[in-house]
Amino acid sequence: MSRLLCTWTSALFILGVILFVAGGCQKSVAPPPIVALKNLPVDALQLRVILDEQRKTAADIKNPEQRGSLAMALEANGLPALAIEEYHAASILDTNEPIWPYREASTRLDSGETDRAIEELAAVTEKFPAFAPAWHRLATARIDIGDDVGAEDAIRRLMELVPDSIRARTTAAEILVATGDAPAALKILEKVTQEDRQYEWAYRLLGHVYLRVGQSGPVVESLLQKTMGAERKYEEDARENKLLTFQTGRVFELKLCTSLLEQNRADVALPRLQKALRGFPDDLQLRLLVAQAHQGVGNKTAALKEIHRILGTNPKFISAYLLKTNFEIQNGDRLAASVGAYNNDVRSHYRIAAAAATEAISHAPDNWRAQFARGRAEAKLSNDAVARIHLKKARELEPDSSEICMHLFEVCRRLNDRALALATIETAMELDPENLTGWVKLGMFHVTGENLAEAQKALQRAARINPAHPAVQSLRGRIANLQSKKKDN
Amino acid sequence: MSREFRSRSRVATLLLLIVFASLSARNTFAQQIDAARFIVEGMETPVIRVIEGCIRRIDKEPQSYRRYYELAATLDAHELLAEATTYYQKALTLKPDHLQSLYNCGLTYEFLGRPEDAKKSWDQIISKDPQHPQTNFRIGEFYFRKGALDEALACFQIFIASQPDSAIGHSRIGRTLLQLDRPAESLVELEKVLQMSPLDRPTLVTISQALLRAGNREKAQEIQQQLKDDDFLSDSLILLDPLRTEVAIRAVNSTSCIARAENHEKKGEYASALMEYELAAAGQPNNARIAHRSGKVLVALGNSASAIEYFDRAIALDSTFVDAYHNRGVARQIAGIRAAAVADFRKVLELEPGHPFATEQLQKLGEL
Repeated sequence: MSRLLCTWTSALFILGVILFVAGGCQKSVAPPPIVALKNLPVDALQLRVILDEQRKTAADIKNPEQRGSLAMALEANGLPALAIEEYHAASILDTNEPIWPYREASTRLDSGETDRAIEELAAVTEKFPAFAPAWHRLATARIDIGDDVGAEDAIRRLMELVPDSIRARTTAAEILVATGDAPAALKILEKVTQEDRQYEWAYRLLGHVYLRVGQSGPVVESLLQKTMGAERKYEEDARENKLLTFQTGRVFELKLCTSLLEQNRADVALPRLQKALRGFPDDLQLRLLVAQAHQGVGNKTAALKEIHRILGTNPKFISAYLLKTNFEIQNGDRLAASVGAYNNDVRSHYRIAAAAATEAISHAPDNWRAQFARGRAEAKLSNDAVARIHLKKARELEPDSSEICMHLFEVCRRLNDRALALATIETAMELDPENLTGWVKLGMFHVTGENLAEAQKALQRAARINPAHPAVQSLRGRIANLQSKKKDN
Repeated sequence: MSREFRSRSRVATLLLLIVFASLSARNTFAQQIDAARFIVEGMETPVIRVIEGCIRRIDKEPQSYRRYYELAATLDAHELLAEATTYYQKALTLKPDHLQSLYNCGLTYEFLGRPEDAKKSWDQIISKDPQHPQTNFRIGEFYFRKGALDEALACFQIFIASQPDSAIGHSRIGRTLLQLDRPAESLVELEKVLQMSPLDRPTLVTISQALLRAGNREKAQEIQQQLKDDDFLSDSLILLDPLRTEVAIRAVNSTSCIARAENHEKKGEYASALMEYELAAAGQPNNARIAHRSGKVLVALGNSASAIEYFDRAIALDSTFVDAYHNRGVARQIAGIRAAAVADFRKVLELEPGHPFATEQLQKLGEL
């Protein structure tokens, strides 16, 4: 009897251990096969990133993190259908991880499978109620389809999780404005934009809300114009940063690096461009940016070497001539700052600039940029009469550029062609009425012509922009002198 | 023991009753709001969203007069006037002296053809603030229509005392004085209007009448001639009315959005115009003209790539839309997509042979 009891006890114990182990451990799942990557519609740079991730995944097919990483590489490079499959594989391999089903749903949403994506997002929030990104995406997806009640519910849950989040509060404001409570949205957005001056979407929404509460005018207009390309941002899992690092491609690199160069971040752009150029060694546009980046980091020799390489490949590549003109003018100006404008070396830079622009014109006589470049270079060489010819031609070809007008004005003023100078600067001021220097120059021009009334008008316009600016003060002084001179007469 | 139990159960029952009573009181107003009463088939989505939003907020704050006022104003802005008066009244039951509700409720009564109710509503404002300018103006209009000219004049004079630069105020005084057969005084007032709004047609009409009454036939004829010849005359007088503006800005129907967008466009505020057109498009997603207008403002903003997308949409919605082809051609030309631009200009000529701008563009491009 006691032996029987002992046997039963042992059997129960073993069963208990089995149940404990089975319940506590992850069920071993056969890993889904990796997506087939044949004939992908991507370029060489994108393919390199994707194949790199695919190789890592093949070596570790059961690793959900690696499957997710491949999915991100696919998503970041415009292959959402394949990304969805890999996210799905990752979520099968790790059922306790919210990010993979969340990314799967998000990718679906971005590819227009709205209904299914919303269902999946709702499922993620149900299974992982503490995962903020899914609540956020669900809230915005619901606003976009006009499900305001659903959006309000999702944002309420999100705010419980991340009450201080700028992005979440901005979405809350977005719901309020869509449902007719613009004043409440305004309160949120005014605070949010004070706390975070970088989140453009909040500023864009603020502009929208200003319109909804009846406030319009230049300030609101400027706010809306400056945030035209703004996009929503969502609560993020730290691993989603990989999406940004995986994003590449020729077009992407061109756009990103152009923007970096505009922001004077040539040091960041240069290594990216050099890497991209390895994928597209014959791409002249990329090489042109490489040249610009070299110039930006102060490596003039490398910059010119790249330009010459471009022109060796395609002697009709106008942009390269224009870049060369700009470089030489810049280099000449820098040197002139220390040795003076009439130094031979300085003039040599300007002469090379003019020659490059002349070459550009020989290939494209109706290209206003080429004409403008030649005009600027000739003006630097004090060949004002020649400069005037090219700047006039540039203006004919591009009548809406205030920059051309300002250069033409300077040249005409030096040539004492007062009629053309006046007409040109007046056009410039019509095109760019906020140009303080332009108003000051116009004022000075009238002072030299002893036209007191017009000079005062120009002063008023300049003072309206910045009354304390030294140039404005200087113009004020010149006008006062003219006034007293006229009184004495 | 049983007595104690009984008294405890009584207390519990009483407490439950109190809880239920308070819950039902909390929802008294909210339960009466049936969205179906004003949300009808064909109503634009943004309008439905703001109305339903207001109702949900009342549900959450049933004792808030402001929430009722917001619903009333939203309904009012979308010309659901009878319903609007109901909720203005609800707001007033919670806060009887709420200025915005009294004033706008009066206006909705007036629009509904119930001037006496309007007057009652406004009188409540005057009882608290006899000098309130816009309310005096509205009551002045009420008296004028009734023929109570002295009362009307008194109200307009109160209005002008606080708004001395209001052209419409002087115009109303001038018109009332003329009705009172005081043409000389009327002319003085109307001259003030002309100084501020020289091209206002109704003022010129009243001036010519006043001149006739004053016996200045020659000058009256001169003005009548101007009324015939001058194409720039218009009805230009507007009452600056912040209480009404607060209602009007709530309108999110496509007609209101388009009107605001056009206004922005006139001032060169293209990004603001685009925002309004986008809201209008949410109300009328299949309207090719709205998509076309958005494209045009994007061209003005220098964003031809996005403009092309809007023109594409306009053409997808109406494949015979000549202006959309023409403007897409312009946008494509700016974006440097020459062949596609030429194709668009050719399509314009196919749809409207001899179209002057398309002909000119093709000539410029050396394609004609």
